[in-house]
Amino acid sequence: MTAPLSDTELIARVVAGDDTRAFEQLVLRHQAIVRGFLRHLTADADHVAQETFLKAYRRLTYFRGDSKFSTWLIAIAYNEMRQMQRKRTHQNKIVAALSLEVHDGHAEAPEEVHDLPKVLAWLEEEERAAMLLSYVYGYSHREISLVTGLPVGTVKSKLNRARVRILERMNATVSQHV
Amino acid sequence: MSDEDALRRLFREEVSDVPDDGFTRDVMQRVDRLRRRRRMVLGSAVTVGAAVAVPAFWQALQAFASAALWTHLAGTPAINATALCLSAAALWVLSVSVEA
Repeated sequence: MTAPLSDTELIARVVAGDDTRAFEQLVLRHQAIVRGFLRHLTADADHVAQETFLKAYRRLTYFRGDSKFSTWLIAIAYNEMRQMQRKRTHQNKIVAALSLEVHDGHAEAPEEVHDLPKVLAWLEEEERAAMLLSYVYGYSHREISLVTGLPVGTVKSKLNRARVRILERMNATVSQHV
Repeated sequence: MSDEDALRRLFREEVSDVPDDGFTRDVMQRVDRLRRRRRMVLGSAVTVGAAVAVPAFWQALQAFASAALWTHLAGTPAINATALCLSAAALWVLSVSVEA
């Protein structure tokens, strides 16, 4: 039995011979992380994820291997999501209003403290992305900085602020119901 | 349980596998469409390029052939054959680049 090819080998095949089977392997391998990440940030996750992989396909020759391939993909996904959000300002206002309603309802329901989507709704977009990358995917501060384009120091402060905000809200909710 | 542990537990519960559900197939269909479109654009560019370049090349060759030193050879079968060979070679190079 042959060992599965590494990301680097698959990328080399796509770049050298436009091997679509190799690219298909890359999509299969990384779709879960890209879609899982985006699902916490946008309602349009699968559409953004498709655009992400198409952009990755077009730009594969520019991947230098300075970071993991998945980090490179997540960075494209994050930028793609932000670009789409900028284009859909009106739609975003509606989504923000909806998430505010969800958040308002949350304070009255102690059992929802452990519901991650609702906890994430308490955070700003950059804090949300940083927390997901750090806690769900185990990214280092440097990797989060690569993905979001924020300086490492800013990443650290955003993570701290997000932690404090979540814990304060969680503790306040718990104390309300004791 | 410390605050940090509480946060880790909260986020760790969310690490779940996202089933493909035809996502990869949809992406690959779009990749195929992109490749077809690229080939069409490149093919059109080469055709237009060839339509412009070959006559220009031919005229340049004629002009070169009728220049002082080669006047006596201008219009001879040897020069015409050379021009044809060079044009064919140029077309061949263009068609290979399209396939690549």
